[in-house]
Amino acid sequence: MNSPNPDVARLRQALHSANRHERAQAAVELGKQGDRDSLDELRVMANDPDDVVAVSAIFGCWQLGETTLPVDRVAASLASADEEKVQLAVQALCTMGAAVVPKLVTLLDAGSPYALSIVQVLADIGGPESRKAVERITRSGDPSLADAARTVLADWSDD
Amino acid sequence: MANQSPLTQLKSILRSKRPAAAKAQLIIQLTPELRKAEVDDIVNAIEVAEPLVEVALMYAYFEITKDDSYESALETILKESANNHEGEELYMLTRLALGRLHGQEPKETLAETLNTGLKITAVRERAVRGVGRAAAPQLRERITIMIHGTWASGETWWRPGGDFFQFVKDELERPDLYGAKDLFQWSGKNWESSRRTAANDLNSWLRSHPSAVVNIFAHSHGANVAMLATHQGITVNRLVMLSPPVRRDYFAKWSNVKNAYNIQAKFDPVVAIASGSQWFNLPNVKEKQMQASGHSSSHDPGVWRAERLAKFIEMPWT
Repeated sequence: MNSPNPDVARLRQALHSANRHERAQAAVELGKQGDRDSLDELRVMANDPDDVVAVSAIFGCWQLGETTLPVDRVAASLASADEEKVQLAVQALCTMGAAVVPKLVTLLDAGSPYALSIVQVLADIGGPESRKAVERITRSGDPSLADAARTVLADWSDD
Repeated sequence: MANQSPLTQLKSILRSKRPAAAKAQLIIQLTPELRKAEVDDIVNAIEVAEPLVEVALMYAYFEITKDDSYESALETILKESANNHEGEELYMLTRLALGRLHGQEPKETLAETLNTGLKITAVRERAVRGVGRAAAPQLRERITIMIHGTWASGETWWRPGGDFFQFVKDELERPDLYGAKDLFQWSGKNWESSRRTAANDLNSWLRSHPSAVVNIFAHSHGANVAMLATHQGITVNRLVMLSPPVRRDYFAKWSNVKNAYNIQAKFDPVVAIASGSQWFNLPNVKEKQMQASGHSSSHDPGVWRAERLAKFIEMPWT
């Protein structure tokens, strides 16, 4: 087996840093660099009690083709009172893109407590599947959710 | 003078012993009456004019011909006047004239703005001489604004009463930090088009809140909104970018940014995901990596105090 390039070696080491943001950033970058050898560690980190670390690890796994992990943790961060967690979740879900839409739709159908944020992030992800899901939400029995879906549709834009 | 031809009036203005600011004001007022036939006289006058008059003539040339040949000359004057504290009026006039070249606003509004700016100068000159009382200018001398990032329009830190807003206003002593009800905000949606719409809106907002000097603190993609806006004519004196995802397609029109600062966290997974780099690596952008980590640390007053970021952005500003 070839030894990893110095950058990847440094990032793998950073997964064990005492600094949560360093761990999280390393998880993201290892995913983006396609380092499948770090997948096992990232799977474990996806259950980290710290949302920033867990969401980053889920994103890293996703980049490595591991798309079976649940994204409810990421969706929950959308509704956080912590701006950083929200922005991390938005960027992660939008980068995952269309592939994550069915999972978000499943969360909506299961009555996710974060449905409002999921509707908004579906709009940010864009695309026909997202739009179809949001259109369906306009007929939701929850008036505030249906209203949010209508607002999102009125302003819909696919970049 | 009213019965004289516009060309005769122009020559009379140029020959007169009026202060340069007054000459510039008169040339701008006369511009709508000048015709293409007089362009050669304007070009000849530009070559020998003093700087304020030179800028006014370049403005007139553009208004008559719609030819932006003097753009680079104006940009040079802007840079030179920016580094000269005694050239504030020249800087302001040049900035506004360049804004017009970039399609910033209709001629009439620009002329009014320039006139107002010159009136401020005149009022200030009278005040220095102990003559007259300063009137309330329509044009602000300075304004500082704060721009939030993605999904952050509901956050409090950038609003009046919010921790970072109050820190900048009170501790960093920026009384010009804009905090009225109509403060600038944007949708915060994670769309390219939303950022570009926000840049348009920022231009419109600044046109309706005219100021000779504009300073901006902008977080995350808010910094990209501010940079995009510089392509539409706004000129920023100090652009303080807090944890921006740095992308070349969002780069500012750097000639419209006098001082740019990039403050980044040591580790920031949000920027790592957001298809950006942390660094510009450009000679004109001053960059700082903090010891603190996390995407929100760059608007945390505690971090600003601990890391002496005010010094990094060269405060106090005049």
